Amino acid sequence: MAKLKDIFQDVKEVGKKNLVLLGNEAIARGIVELGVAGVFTYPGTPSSEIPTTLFRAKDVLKQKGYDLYLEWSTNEAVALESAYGFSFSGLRTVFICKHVGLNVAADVFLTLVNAGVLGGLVMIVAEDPEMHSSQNEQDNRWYTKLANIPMFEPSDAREAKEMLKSAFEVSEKFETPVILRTVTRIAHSRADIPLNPITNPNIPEDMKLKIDPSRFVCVPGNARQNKLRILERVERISKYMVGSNWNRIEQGKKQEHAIITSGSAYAYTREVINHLELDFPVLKIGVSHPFPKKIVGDFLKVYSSSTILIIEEADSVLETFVKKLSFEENFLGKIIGRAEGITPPHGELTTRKLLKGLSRVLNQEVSIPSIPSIEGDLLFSRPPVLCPGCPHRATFYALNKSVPKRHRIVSTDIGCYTLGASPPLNAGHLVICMGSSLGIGSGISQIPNQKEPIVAIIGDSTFWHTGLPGLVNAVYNNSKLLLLVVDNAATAMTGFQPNPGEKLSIAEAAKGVGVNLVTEVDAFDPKSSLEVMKEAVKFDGVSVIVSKGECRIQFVRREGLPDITYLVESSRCVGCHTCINRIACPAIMWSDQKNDKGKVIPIIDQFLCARCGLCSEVCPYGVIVPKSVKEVLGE
Amino acid sequence: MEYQIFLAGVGGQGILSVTDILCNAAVEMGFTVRGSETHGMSQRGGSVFSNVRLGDVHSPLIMERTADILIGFEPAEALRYAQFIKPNGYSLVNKYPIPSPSFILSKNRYPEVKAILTELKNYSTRIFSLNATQLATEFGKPIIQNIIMLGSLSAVPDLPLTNKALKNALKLQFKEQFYDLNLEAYQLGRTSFEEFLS
Repeated sequence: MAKLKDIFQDVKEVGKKNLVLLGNEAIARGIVELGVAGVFTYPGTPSSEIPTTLFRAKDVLKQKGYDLYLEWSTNEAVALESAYGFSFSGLRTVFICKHVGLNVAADVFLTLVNAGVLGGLVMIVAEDPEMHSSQNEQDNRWYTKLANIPMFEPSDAREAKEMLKSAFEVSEKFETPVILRTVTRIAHSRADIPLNPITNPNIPEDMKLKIDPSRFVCVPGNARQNKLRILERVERISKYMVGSNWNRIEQGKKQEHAIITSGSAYAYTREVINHLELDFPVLKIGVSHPFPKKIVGDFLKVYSSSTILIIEEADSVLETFVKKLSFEENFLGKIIGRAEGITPPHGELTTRKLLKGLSRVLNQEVSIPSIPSIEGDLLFSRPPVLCPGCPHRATFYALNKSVPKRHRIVSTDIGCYTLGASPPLNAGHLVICMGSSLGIGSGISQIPNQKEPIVAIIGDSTFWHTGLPGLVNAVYNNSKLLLLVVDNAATAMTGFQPNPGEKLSIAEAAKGVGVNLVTEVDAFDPKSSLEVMKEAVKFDGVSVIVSKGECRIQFVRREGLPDITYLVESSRCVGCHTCINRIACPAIMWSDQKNDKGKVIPIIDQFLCARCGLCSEVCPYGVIVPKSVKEVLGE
Repeated sequence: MEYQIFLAGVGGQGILSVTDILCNAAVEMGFTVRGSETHGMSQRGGSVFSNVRLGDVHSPLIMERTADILIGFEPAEALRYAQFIKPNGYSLVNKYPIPSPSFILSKNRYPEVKAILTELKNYSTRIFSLNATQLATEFGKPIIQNIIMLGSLSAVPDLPLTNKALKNALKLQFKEQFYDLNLEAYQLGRTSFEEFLS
């Protein structure tokens, strides 16, 4: 990732050279080039680096006299509400979330669009096809139809930044929020990005707000008027976009096929065209809603004797609307899309997948290089795991010692700790979405004759996000469950953003809503915490344990690694393998050594070890011992 | 012209730093740059990759069987992504094995590194390997295995990035006090690869 002073440099210093930025860094740069005054967000992959970059740059920006209000809101609904409130200033405002975050914000979203905005409001929503770091694959282009909201779909990182400018122009001209949609391969892709000057927001000395209640109080009478307004507004935007270069036809020499594509799929389309020398005309759609009827209709007319190929990533959204329009326009040619197998119905699009799809639908030889298969035994899976030194591992170890794995139902939540659901920790039977652990756990606890203890697991940030209403619900409805809050003092999985836990106490909040048994424990002291867990799980009602242990990465970044590391004393190791079987720390491995009974002795990899000492707590024979690093590594 | 480098390894090995250096060197030399990488759910210990593409490129992802260089910071990860190397491309592999916890739990032993390297030959026969982590540990800083690997990469014939541009990008990447050590590591990797070629 680029350095902050580079990302936010003054343009004069760059000369004509571009800067290689991550898509999200490019968008962060775009935000300050456009004089945005307010950013509201809840972090979520793949959107998180946009606000995080801005957050880290606060001082850099301040030195430039740039006054940015950046809010880590408690969840996406609150973030969008706050962004909306802020936008009444008339100042440019940005809301950022991942695709499922828009579901959290859907209630406020679907009504505020009707009322419209008075200042520019752009909603940057990042999707995750292939679910690299998500619980579902959701194509938010469907939302545009539901909400009647304009959507910009960049095809790469460079366009993402450029489109942000146009998105604000449309937002301000038509008093509507606008969505800028990215996907993982834009957000987390790199490109050389041209920079424009940074423009400080123009904040008036004396801010006066004008809020017209007949428009912004969304009671039925006013809402009916708003509905009429939005229908008319969409028509006007549709006309306005007709001349836009974001929807454009790129000529091609071969005309037996003509391609319609949008967003990220454009990049793969260009790759394929280059590779196969399939020089077909391409209609590139950058603003997909309001659906650009005019240019699509024209394209269908011009290429009425060609076969139209529709290439898109994720769902068949473009295809649906093109086929509908072709029906309305009496287009008699052939249209080939997802339904005909040109792109896969799930997962991320890639150049190879598109080549395969084309070979299926084109009457033309397409050579796809074959891939040798790998000898079965040589590859093993390497899924994401809890890091060495992770406090969650220690908490789940204590949980497993106190509430046997076979006799419990564990409803877990979204965060690093979700990874604890894998063996050998097995701390999770189900997980759906942010904050769902409590509601689901509470519901299960109400099942008649269900006798296993229920444990709900939630992280600190997720607790504040949407856990709190579930806790109130469980208390109010007399559910019987243990809520285990794994508080690592960080929103770690998305890259260490702050959360309300900085100022507010989860234990106090739990007591405040009427939980009668609330205990805080030290995650790295499993012997004590497992005793607390044993009692809490028997409690007749809702009990809460807050297991506190700082994220090891955050700790080591600040404090450095401790001077004490841990070693297996091979001469004394009995080879019981409890360390590996109970906690599966990535730093504990099999050595080449066997003890006198022929048992393989584990070894601690000093390169990976984060020196937390959990393994020495776990070893029943006390043969994993602390040693000074000097002694071990000679540092 | 199109030139592509596929980087593969385990979260925490400094793959993104090397990606930064390659991209910065490329843009310094005036190339169009596209790339993609793993972020998010795997701070440490997961399988991660990164793509760097230079020249006449659009998508951020390297297509299978087209990468000019595959740089594997871990042997099994090199094999996992071997499908991306082109038939006459170079595979550069750090021989230091890192098993995964689920693999350890299954009581399986890490496959012979030699067997992995042999298997890699099915994809391209140009394979260079060294134990970069062990060499870096001798420097007293195991993490700079990534810079040793970068150094090796810098000597690949036909690499459009110059030694000068790479060294300059390396200098700008880390705090100044680490430059001498990094340069030494880089040089070691570079020399090893040159010896391999000759």
